Amino acid sequence: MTDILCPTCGRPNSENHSSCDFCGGPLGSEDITSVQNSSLRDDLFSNENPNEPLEPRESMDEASRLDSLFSPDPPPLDSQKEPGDQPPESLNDVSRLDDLIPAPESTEALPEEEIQTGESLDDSSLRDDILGSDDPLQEPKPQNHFPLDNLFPDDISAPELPSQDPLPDSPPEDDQLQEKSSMETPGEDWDFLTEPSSSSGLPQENSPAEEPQGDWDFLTPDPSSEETPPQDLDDPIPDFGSPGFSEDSGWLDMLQDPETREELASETSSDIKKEKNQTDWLDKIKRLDKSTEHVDEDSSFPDWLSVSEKPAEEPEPEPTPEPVPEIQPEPASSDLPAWLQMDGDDESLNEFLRRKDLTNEEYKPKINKEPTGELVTLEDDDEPAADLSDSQHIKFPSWAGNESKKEEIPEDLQFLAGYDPDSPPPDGVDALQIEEEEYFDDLFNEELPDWLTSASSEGVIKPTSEALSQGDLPGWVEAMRPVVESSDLAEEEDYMENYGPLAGIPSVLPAEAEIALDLEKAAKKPLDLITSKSNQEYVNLLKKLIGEENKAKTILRPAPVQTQRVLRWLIAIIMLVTTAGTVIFGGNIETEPPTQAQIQNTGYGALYDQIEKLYDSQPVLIAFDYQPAAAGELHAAAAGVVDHLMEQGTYLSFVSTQPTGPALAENFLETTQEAHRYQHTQQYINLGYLPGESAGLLSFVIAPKKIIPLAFDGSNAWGSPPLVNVDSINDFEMILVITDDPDIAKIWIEQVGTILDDTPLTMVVSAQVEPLIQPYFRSSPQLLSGYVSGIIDSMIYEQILGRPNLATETWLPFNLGIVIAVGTIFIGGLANGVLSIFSRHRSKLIGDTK
Amino acid sequence: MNIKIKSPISTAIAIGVGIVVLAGYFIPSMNDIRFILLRTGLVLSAVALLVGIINLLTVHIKKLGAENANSGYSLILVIALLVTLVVGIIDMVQTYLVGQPNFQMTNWVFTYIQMPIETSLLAVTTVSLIYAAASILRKRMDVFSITFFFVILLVLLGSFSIPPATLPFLHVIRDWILRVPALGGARGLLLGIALGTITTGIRILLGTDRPYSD
Repeated sequence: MTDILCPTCGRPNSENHSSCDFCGGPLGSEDITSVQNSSLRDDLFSNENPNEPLEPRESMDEASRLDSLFSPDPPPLDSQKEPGDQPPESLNDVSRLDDLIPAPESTEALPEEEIQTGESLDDSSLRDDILGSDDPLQEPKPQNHFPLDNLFPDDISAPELPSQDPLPDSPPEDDQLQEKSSMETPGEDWDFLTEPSSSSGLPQENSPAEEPQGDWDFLTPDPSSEETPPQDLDDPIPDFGSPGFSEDSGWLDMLQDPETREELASETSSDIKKEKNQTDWLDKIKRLDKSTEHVDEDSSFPDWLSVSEKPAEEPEPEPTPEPVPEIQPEPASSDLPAWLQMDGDDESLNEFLRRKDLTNEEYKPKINKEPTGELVTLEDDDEPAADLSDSQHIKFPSWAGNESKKEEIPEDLQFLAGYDPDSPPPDGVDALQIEEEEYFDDLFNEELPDWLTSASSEGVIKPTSEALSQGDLPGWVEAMRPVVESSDLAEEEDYMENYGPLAGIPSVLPAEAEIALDLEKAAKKPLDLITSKSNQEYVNLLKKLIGEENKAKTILRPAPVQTQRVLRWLIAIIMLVTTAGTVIFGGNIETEPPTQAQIQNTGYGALYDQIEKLYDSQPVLIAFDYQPAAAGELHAAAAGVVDHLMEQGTYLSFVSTQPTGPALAENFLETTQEAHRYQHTQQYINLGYLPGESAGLLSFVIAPKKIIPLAFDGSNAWGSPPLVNVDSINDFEMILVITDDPDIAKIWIEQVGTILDDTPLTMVVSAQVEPLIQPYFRSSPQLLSGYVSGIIDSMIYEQILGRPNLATETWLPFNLGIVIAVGTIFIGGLANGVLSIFSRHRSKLIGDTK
Repeated sequence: MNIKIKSPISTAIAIGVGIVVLAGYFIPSMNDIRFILLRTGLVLSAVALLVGIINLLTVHIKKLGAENANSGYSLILVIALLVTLVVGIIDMVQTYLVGQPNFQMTNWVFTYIQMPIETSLLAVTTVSLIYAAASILRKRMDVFSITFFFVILLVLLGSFSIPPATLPFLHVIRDWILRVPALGGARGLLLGIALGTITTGIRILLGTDRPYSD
């Protein structure tokens, strides 16, 4: 009676058990993971022949394709025993397992059934994924290595499997016939995987007693295993007969113990056993992925393959009553029958393959987080094989490492990482790759021929993780630790100033630079300064300027401006003497009256015409809007005009927007019009001061009686007969503004002149205002009806009037003053100009001399 | 609690009054409202003059003291102001009591004190202007200075009109200068003043300029 190793926990069980006594898992059940893993290996080792038809391959079971990789050219045992015979010429990188795939030429020598089987085993699509091209020597493209995803999508369902995996129901005695039929119809090889429940009809918990014990007989060197009766045909677990395994799996037969292999070879294996043998080696692979304790219990491995030093004859451990830990099934496999559920070994192997795959995000952080720990664990597992050669330490082929490295990024996201699927794989090998290489070399290093193992050992990078002990960080990592920075900060904070005003104060910035200059070194440095002539001149100039800083300068006292003061006094004396003399001793100058042509288009001529239109008792408004300082000029200028108005017998109304205006009006009448003897309220009315400037003036224009109800002396301003009918500014016959301010003249023109209808607005202004009121006089419509500017126009006006007045009296001193002013300006200006020229010339000469 | 309501109220008053007065130029029915506002402004201006006089008196009274070196001038100003005020009040009282305008004392002060002083100041200005014109070429001799210098001479000589020495062409030159360059410059100046006045008025109406605020 042979023991059956539990695929879940690896512990032996009696052959009449369908489930494991230890973990409760099904015995010998082929789960989905095994198929998955085998399919992966098919992907990895598939040999493509472009001339082969694809249909048989597609019908082939996924799990058997891995065996088919080696079946087309199963190395004979002799050849395996004599490695190094004729290595393939096309082998570039012998460390890659894809190089193990025999060349197409070698498949020609195989039997036809074998070739057909191999062809049928190949899945063309998956094969393309691995090889990537028709060229068997071409390296597989990394982007196509996702066999697990391709084989087991989430929506995988059990009904799909029976069509591919017909469960062999023939008795074991018909192994040869079954084998032949399986070769002819390869799609039926794995019926036991697809229809486990229908064929066996036993659920997982009900079938342990019917588990075939011969499935694991080659793993148990117990001689009793040879006497294992034929397996129950209803057993879903195929019999892993050695002959069948050796025939299908080729060089993987080397995994078996020679003795066991011979014993198994003597047994007639049925097709079912053959199918089971095809997956038998996968169980071994799965066990390699188990934890250490599981591996120790797996005594069916040969010494060279065993990962523990426990002898195979070690007594079986007593079954523990512990509850079997439940394995969380995969969501995709939850619907699978019990015999397809993953056991512990499958879970471990699946986990390993998922690491390779990295499509599951759960494994990715684990690998990244604890790479070192895993490496250490692997080393511990490999301790029994420590005496192996260096080539045997090569755990993972480089191409697999590259694949695993590339598969760290999911295929869907590789484009985001800038990964070019067509680009060749990088040459670098990371620690994870080496780790996985160790797994695979445990599997294949013994089967490799010597020529292959020796060649592969040359191009393999020794795992650097062996040199590292756990917890020891490299020096550069130590240097990067932030602890160093914090200690530096602490030192800076503890710094205390030793001198200066901050002496004794901690945590201050040092007064001196921490990195002081090496003065000796700096002094030895030669000065390569090359100065030009201009640079030297600048240096000399700088030295001169610095040197003159210490010298006291004598500041020359400027010469007093006596000449200017004398000139000023001279001008004043001349003006006073001449004007005073002419006023005192002078007289009137007889002048010729202007012609009619000279009067036309002049301001004084227009004013004269306007006054000539007035007659007796017509109200005339006169505004005294000038300062007392301008009284000398404006009194003389307005005297002839006002005299003309009085001559016309008009009723004069005085108003002023200046506070001093009413007084000036009274003074004007007393000084210039005394001959007329105008009486207040009888011939004239002094309305007084009109406040508000433009606003007051505008108000006065609208309603003069309301704005100024009383006269300057408090009497009724509008009670006089000429003013009784005056209700607005337009009721005045003429408006005469006497001003020396251009702004006041402008306000009168803009605020009053625009409102007036037929009432003329005239002005007597200072000579300085004339340029500003000329535009209003010479514009159309004419806002200013006439004006007299200064003494000159007034004197002409008096001449026109024929009544000499104040302007005529001041004409001679005025002209003398002009002559003196012109003479002074001309002489003084000429002298100053000449002096200025000489001064500049002399300064230029002095500058040139210096 | 300091609530600043002065600025918004004054701004609202200024804008409202400005809009009403401006609208009075175009809408005859608003003349009455405009006149009321203008008359109110007239009264306020007169009051402002009194307030200014009181403020002047107060300031100079505060300056009276031994510490201030110029306190003498302030004393003269205060005395002159009070004397003139008293003279004016006496004349007003006399006028209202007698019923006959009598401003003799006020006219005397104005004629013999205020007018000579202001006229003398203007005469000093004349001497200063002559001196400045004479020294202009000394300080800066360039094209503009020389032009300014000779224009002054031509205008003054053109104003000279003593028959024996009268030069007719100087009168023509003077008239040309006054009617062409001076007139053109004055027009441009007036246009600029008008545009500035309009802009200022709009800014005040919009509340951008607040000359009445602090």
